[in-house]
Amino acid sequence: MFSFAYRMRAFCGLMALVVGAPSFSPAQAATGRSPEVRPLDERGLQELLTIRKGRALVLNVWAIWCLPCVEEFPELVRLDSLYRSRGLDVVTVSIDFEDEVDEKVRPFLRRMRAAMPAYVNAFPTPSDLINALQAEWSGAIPATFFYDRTGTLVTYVVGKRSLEVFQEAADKALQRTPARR
Amino acid sequence: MARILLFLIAAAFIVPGAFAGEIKKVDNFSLDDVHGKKHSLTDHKDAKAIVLMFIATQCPVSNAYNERMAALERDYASKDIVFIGINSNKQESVEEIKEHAEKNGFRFPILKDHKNIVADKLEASVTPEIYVLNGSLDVLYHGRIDDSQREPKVSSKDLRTALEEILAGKPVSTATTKSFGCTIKRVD
Repeated sequence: MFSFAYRMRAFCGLMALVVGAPSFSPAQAATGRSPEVRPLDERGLQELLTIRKGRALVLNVWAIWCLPCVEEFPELVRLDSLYRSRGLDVVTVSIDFEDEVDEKVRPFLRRMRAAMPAYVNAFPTPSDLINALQAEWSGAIPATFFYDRTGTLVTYVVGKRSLEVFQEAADKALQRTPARR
Repeated sequence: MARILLFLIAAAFIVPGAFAGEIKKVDNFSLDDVHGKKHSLTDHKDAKAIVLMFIATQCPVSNAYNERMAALERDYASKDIVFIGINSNKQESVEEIKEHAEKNGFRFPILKDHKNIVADKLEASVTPEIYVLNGSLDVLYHGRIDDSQREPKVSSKDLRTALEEILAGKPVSTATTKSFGCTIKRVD
């Protein structure tokens, strides 16, 4: 079903997660290199939520065909640059098809100078990802999920949102549990 | 690592449930279609099923289903199943909806839900999103048309399965499904 290159990227991504070695470089976008987009499946999501190392998390679900998602994306890039040093990670999960990643998703991320980790949905069906993130979520995008430092969901918002809304929710996520000392 | 294992073991025993607060029954409503004709759900109390489809003119996911929606109506209209499109997006005008329907060969009426009253009542949030009702306006099915925007990749024709079960007088085996779609743009 997946190409060899895609499976290799999935394997490398999984290995990086297992050993906990960050392979995303904030300089990646700035240097113009094509951003890496890893497949995200059930196991990858659980690892993302459990291996928090005391950092809160913002997870945005988007697609290249979704105009409000594309419009709000710069706000996520700003959120990432403002909050990365404050103990919060921002990651994005594209629900575009795997064969659209190289042609559409990666060029978009490069244009956005997006330095945060980027994933593409690799759950077997859309409802698997929807239910894994939040059973009450309808699947409407964009949708942005805020987790505290333990990986517990604090809140989520559906629809295009401003940086101020993201900051308010991010602050809540950071305040929910104290930073690890 | 032990924490991850514990989490994965716990997750294996969690079965995703239906939507919290899933609508079971719909109150009757009346809306004008794009030609100015009023439609009420109670006009169809003798139908075997009423299929309400929240659709859009600009949403790529909804548009990916245009041919499938037209085909569904063609296949089931003669079997006493009524199809009704509803457009609740604030930025999509009646003229635009009319043109879109003609271009895509929609024979079913499309109602303009100007103030999101129906979308709010049904708690619809995405396009396309389907509600199948019986003549008493009980919700028999809520969710997606099928499991892939790309027709060749479809493996589960959820709406067709539900309609076949209704026609056969059986309960709908999978009454709730979910998929990705565009957010309904509501009035402020």
